[in-house]
Amino acid sequence: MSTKPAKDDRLLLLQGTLDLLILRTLLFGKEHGQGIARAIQAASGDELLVDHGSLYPALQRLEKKGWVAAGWGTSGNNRRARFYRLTASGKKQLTSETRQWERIVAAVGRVLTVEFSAD
Amino acid sequence: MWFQRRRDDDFHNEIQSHLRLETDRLMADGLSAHEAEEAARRAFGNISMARQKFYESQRWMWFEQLLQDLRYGARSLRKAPIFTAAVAVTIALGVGANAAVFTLIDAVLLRSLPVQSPKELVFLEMAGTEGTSGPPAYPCFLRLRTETDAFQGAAAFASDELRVEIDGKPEQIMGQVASGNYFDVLGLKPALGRLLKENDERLNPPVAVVSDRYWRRRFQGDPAVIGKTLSFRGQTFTIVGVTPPSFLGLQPGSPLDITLPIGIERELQRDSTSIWLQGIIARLKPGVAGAKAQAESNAIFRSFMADSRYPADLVAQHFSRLQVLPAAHGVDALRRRFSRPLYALMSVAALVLLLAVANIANLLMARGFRRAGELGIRLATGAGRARIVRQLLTETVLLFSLGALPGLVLAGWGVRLMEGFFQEGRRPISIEAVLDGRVLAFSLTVTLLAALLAGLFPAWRAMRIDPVRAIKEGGESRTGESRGTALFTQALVAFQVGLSLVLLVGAGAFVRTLSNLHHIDPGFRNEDVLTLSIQVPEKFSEPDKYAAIWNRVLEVVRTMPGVRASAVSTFTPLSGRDRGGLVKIHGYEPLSTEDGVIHINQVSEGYFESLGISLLRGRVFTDGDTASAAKVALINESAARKFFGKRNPIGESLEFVRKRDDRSYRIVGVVEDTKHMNLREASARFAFLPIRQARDAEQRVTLVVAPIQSNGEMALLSSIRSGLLKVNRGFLISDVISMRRQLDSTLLTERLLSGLSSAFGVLALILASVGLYGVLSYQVGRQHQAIGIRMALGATPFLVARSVLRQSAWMIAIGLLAGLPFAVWEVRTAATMLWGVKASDLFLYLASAGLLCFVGIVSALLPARRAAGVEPATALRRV
Repeated sequence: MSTKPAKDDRLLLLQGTLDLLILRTLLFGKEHGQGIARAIQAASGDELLVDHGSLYPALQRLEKKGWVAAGWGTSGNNRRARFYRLTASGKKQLTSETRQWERIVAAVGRVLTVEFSAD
Repeated sequence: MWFQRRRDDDFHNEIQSHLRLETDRLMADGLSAHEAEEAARRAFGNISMARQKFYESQRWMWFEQLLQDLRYGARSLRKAPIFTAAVAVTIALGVGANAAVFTLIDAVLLRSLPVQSPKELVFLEMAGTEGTSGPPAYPCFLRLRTETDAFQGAAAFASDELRVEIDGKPEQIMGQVASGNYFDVLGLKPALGRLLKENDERLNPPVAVVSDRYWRRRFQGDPAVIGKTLSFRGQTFTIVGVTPPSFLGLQPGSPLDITLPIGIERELQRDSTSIWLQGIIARLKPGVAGAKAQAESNAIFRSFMADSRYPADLVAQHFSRLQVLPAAHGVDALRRRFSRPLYALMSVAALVLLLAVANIANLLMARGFRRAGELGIRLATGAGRARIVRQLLTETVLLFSLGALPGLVLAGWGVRLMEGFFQEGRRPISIEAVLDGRVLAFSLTVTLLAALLAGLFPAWRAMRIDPVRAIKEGGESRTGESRGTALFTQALVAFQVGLSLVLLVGAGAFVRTLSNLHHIDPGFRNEDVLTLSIQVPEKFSEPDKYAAIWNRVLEVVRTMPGVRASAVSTFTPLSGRDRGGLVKIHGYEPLSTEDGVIHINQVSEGYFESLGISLLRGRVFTDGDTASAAKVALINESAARKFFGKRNPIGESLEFVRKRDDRSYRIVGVVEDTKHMNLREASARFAFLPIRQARDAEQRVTLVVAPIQSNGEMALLSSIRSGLLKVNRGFLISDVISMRRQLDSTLLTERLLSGLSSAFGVLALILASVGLYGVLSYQVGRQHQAIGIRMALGATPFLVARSVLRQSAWMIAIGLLAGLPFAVWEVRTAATMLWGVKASDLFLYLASAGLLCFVGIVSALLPARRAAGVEPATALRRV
């Protein structure tokens, strides 16, 4: 919903894939919101553009669904932050969503390949 | 919500922590503190949006917003108390009228019998070319009951006012005789004791079932009522049970007090074809179609009728086939009588509401312009347009609900008032009208629809507000009103005028109908006459005793002070009671059975004097026309014309086609025609026979008393009552009514229609004039400057006032023209309910239109005067 013009050629995050990325980031341990945002950006080789603000409604949603749990703690540089961790049902969700994601990617890839070969 | 709610400030803290962490990180990357902070914010995006989203995700937003809108609406309504009150009153009247009429419609037309699966129930009725004519005779019912396969059960019933004695005291109650399986067919369970069983029909022992209502009224709800006895026609019945409270019988309007078993054996010993049934009700077997049941029972009916001795033309007219009719609503006499008038009233009420809605829509529009500034500010500070529309509609619904609540109270009063109308007369119709869930649901729907209708256009306009202009021009948007909107408000006023015309013409038509009917000469005196019913104990049915008791009664009543004349008769005009027969006259050849029909009333001497019926020829009865004297008769004009043409009937003889009656009556006089069942019908042919030469010793007769003093009839009542009881303590006196009220009660429908439609007409007139006044004065207010400029340029106050009046004249004229065709259509549609009023009645339309014009111009005068009084100097200074 940001009015900021996306001038750089980094990819805008697909709707719905944010959840998957958050869950995947948390697989490596608990993390706070800012850390998650940074991690997503870094893991994608700075290819993905995440509005940090849009992360929080997503976290809120995941928390409501019970896939992540949260609590206040202290960060590495002694700042108070709210930390998120993956729950058991969150892990299950991650595997099933990952599988589905892979299927979609594979399917899209196939379509694109076919089109390229016909060119 | 099932999860623990996170607080708003907790989320705020998280965002702050995020920003700090990001700033730390960026500073570590080498940015200055200030740059890092900026960049962190940028990366985050819209902070307040995130917070708002969080807030909304935590709540039932629509509900919160609704509460918010309601609070806001209540506040803004409080700020405009006069506007609010005006709208609330308008809505209260509109919704109240609709709820009241709907309550009646629901009670009379829509409600199903409170029995098990009412949709399976059917009535079996004979029919012919003249429509349906009641159930077949009892022996035919017996065959239907045993020989059909389509019904789970069939029961016969007949109800009447019964004279019973309880603890030796006579009383009149509404009772019915019914087949033993009657309650089984209906699927009813007793509230107390037991209901009837099949073998109760043997009357061995005779048992009775009382209604819950009678049980409470007469026995104070004492369970010891079981086992109590009452006597009816010399037989003692033991009460064995009480019917459930909701069940009032199969005839809406006349609740039952008691049910007795049909005594088959006793009844069959009499002339079986003369047993008069009121109905046969049957329950279809599951899955059996009405058509199949009809074919089956019609075959039985035809074979039964094959050896009847009815004339063929009579059979074709009335008894040619048997029909299976839905019985879910019970006997439909009441429905037939009132469905058209009630739907007419519903339409009138709906029109009034529509008028109210148009009125309010206009008020809302005007208010919308005044609030343009406020709405502009809300838009500018980021409120969504959809949200504003929703808020305005919420406010309108709130406003309408404020009116709907008192409207329901008004409806309650209205219903009581109308119930009162129905309670008049000899046979009070008791309408079980209650403001129940159905009425509430109806009122709610009507209110919401009306609110949407009234609020839609103003809300739509609000969507198109330009915030910049609205704010710049302040609260009062002077130029914001488009030409289309102005036209729309004027069209609404014209619409109101048109609706008012329709309502006024309708009211005029009904009022004139009532007055026309009142001016009909009924052929008898309808003032200063008292009538009451006397039922004598069974033992007086021997001819000698019968004549003697009436001699005694007349002797006692006639010697009372204040009594001018008095008589007894089988019935009186307009009482709803009737007797008739087929006549045989020498020299008259009837072409059809109908041609030979004559109504018969047995009367004593003094009958014609008491009722003021003029004698045209010959003589009336005297006390010398006794059983031992020569048999004599009187006929009325219609009978004389029909049977004798130009011949003189005096001295001719009159015979009746009837078994066991070979008596011949010599005609001794001709009397004036009188109205009989109602005022609208052509006068019926009548024969009068002296009650002292009675051929039927009716247990129940009517005493007619004419007082000496004008309006003195009711004052005589107590002395007459005590005098009668002195003659015989077993007399049951009932149906006490003055002729004037009797006449009124036959005009029940007309009075209801004329009363309510006039009330609605007046309401329409007020609403329309308020509407016109409101729109004009609002426009004058808005055009204050324009008027000022015109006056500064030389227009006189007269010219200004004239232009306002001309504008209102246009609205009225267009409204009248548009409403006229509907008014004509309305009168044409209502024709069967009218009397002496035609759709081509110019006066009716002119009077209504004239009244509307007058009221319209009067309500335009004030705004016109205000326009004329505009001071150019002050008006221009405000620019």
